[in-house]
Amino acid sequence: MNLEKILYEKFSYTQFRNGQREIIESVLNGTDTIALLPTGTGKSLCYQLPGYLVDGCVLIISPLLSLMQDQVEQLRAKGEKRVVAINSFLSFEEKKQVLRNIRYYKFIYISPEMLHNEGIKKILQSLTISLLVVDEAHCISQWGYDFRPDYLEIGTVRKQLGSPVTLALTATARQEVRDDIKRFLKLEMVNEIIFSSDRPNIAYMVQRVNGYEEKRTTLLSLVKQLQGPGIIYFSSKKLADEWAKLLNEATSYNVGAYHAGLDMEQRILLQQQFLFNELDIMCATSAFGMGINKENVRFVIHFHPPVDIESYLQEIGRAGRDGEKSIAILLYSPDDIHLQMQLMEGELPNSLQIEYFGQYMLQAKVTINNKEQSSMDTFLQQPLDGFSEVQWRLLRKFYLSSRDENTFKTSIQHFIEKRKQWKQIKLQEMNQWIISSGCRRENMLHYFNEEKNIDVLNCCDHCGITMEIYQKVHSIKKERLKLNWQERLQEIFAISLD
Amino acid sequence: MNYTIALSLLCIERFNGERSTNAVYYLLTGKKSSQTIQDAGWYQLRQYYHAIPQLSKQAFDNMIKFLLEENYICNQDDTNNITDKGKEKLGFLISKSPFPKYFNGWKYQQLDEIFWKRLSLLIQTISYWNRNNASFYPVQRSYETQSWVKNWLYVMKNKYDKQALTKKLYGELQSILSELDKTSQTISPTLLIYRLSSYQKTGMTSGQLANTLNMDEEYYAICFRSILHYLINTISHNRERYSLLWKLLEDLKQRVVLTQSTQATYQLLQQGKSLKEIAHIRRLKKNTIEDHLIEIALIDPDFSIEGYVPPKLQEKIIVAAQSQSTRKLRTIKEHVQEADYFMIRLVLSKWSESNKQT
Repeated sequence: MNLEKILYEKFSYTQFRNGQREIIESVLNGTDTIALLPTGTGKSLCYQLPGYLVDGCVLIISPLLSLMQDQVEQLRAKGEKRVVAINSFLSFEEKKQVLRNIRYYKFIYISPEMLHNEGIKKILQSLTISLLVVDEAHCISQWGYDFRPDYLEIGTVRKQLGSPVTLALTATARQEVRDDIKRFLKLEMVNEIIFSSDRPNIAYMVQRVNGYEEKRTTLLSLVKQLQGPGIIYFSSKKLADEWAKLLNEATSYNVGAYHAGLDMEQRILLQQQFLFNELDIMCATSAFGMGINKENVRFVIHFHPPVDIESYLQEIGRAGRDGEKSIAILLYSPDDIHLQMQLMEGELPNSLQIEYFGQYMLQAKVTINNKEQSSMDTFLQQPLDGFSEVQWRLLRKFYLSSRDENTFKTSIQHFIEKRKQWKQIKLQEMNQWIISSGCRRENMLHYFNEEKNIDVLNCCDHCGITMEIYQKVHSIKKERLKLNWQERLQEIFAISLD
Repeated sequence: MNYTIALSLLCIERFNGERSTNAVYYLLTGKKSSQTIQDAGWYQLRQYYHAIPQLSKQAFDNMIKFLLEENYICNQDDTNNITDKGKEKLGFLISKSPFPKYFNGWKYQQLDEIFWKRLSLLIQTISYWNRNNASFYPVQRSYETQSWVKNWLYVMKNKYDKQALTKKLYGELQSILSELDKTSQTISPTLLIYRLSSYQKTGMTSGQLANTLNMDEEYYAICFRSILHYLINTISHNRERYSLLWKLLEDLKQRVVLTQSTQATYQLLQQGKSLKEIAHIRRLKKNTIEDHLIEIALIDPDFSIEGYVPPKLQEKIIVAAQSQSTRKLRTIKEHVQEADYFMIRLVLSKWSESNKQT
């Protein structure tokens, strides 16, 4: 079996990246595997390639709808037609059609809550599943930074599916999280393949400023100097929008703004523009980045510190996927702590939202009694305005597993309190990293119980960075766009008028 | 936000203090309820129905607060009405950004969205296909749209060769848009064309294009949809001339606009069941069934209300509504004692249907 041959035929790569071969061989040998590969080093290949070497299908459980859609489209763009995502984006009719033809598909992506649907589970049980993939497996652990209660039941579903060979993938997991993955997925003989979370081609820099004004001027001068493409993370949609506008005017870069407030079509276009280098810089909220395979991102700047080290590592991991020199810069002002607290609390539903959700479901129940054909599910599928996907999933999960409205409220409030205490600790660890002295890379590695055992040139601001190598080589003058619809229409259809 | 202000003021003016402020929100976002459908019909606001579907309730409430503070509207009998200052503002906003004449939110609700999804994905696909490149990231991700485009191409490939198909589709678009360019001063095809993605060139987002053209984003969105409405309307009336484009609409025409529950009631009604029987069969309140009837009267021009209100009484109600120039049920009832509220609502609905301009 020549893995390189398939790698080239199906994915047009000539060689594996660090770790990929080992993981692929492990699952092809029929061993349950936990694999830890740093962000941006090609995790999805580790289950996509084996798909071509096994008879049955590959079932992938993925926590985020948008990520799932991206991965489906990426596989399709590589010419793989036998790929589908079963999630709440599908209408009732579409779902029926997909399930009817389920045997056609090689790669089936599914969101965790769909696994609870008895009908779907039955259909899956009738399939030969050669590989079960749990993507972002750290979501299963409450010690993780991104705990998703609906991940807890995957272990049971796995048994019901006849315990197929399982691959649990994650980019960031400390030992206690990995133990949880084993325990909750009910993995017994497991091969743990752990690679360093370090990305030596990314330099770490923390730029301390005093207050918002200084942050503004610092960011502006950084962007003017740095070589793109780049991503700048902001704490709010409003900031991302404002800065995109400002940087478009003040620099020679084409700058876009990406956040959850945009509709699906705009998000797809912006991702595409960035991927095709039509945009040089993306001003984004944390909604941006998952599932984007852009290789040449040269810098990631954080306008504010994230709420935990894992999130930070994941976000800066979008730089330098091509292995070239890249830089991660964190702007930090002592008063950022208030903002971090807000961000942290915003991840979980607040008491007003819980109240509103309860009301909404009460109303839904009345409607359901009136209309036989609808079920609870239609009301719970898509988040209402003002709820994030993560918040909605939590509410949904607790609502469906509670006896009545009161148990629902007490249990979710109890959960949120506990989560907040844990997140508080994670937040302190993040800020500790920011203010600590010594090598930033080493400190980061220690956090993940790793040692720094290679020398890195341009390691971090404490070890010393030569900023020149990240600076713009030449600047281009931005041309003002002239709009002529007739010409553009010809261009689209490749029509020449002669 | 400017254009939301304009359209909200416009609705508030038409409602003339007879409807709640939330009714404005439901109308602009196109709520599918009998009440909102009724409001759209009674107050001749169908054009504006579903004009700003993306508007959030919170943004709307904040805007109303702003309008009150600025004294563009004022509180009057538990609801809001427009002030003279508001009328002036409305006049100013509309003269600056006239409501596009092709826009008809009622008629083309949802149809425009599906049409755009198909059109944009089809053009992107053809643009790549034409350069012998089949691998790209589709601009539309809905399963429905993707399978539709696949199917369309499959059928067309048997009829035309690649070049002929490309040329024909280009020709149809070029011709239909040139006509728009000639007849409309305010709406240019640019608003639509630069949104399209093609071979190695991604389309602009609505926000980017509005910005480039220096337009208010909400006004841009309405102008953009008005081009879709123009296209749908023109294509449907010239099916042979735009035979390829007509294929994008052919299967969509039949969609019914009645709410689901009303459809069920209508079916029973057509089987000859009485109101009471329907309420019993469907285990719904009589009031609910009456709401359904109002909705049907508003939507279906062939629906006769004579079985519910005698013609003489219908006339009396219409006269009362006209002479008092109101849609307020209580006022009308004071003038026509023998009618009940359901009768009045039914007549007003039927009457607005037969009066509507298409």
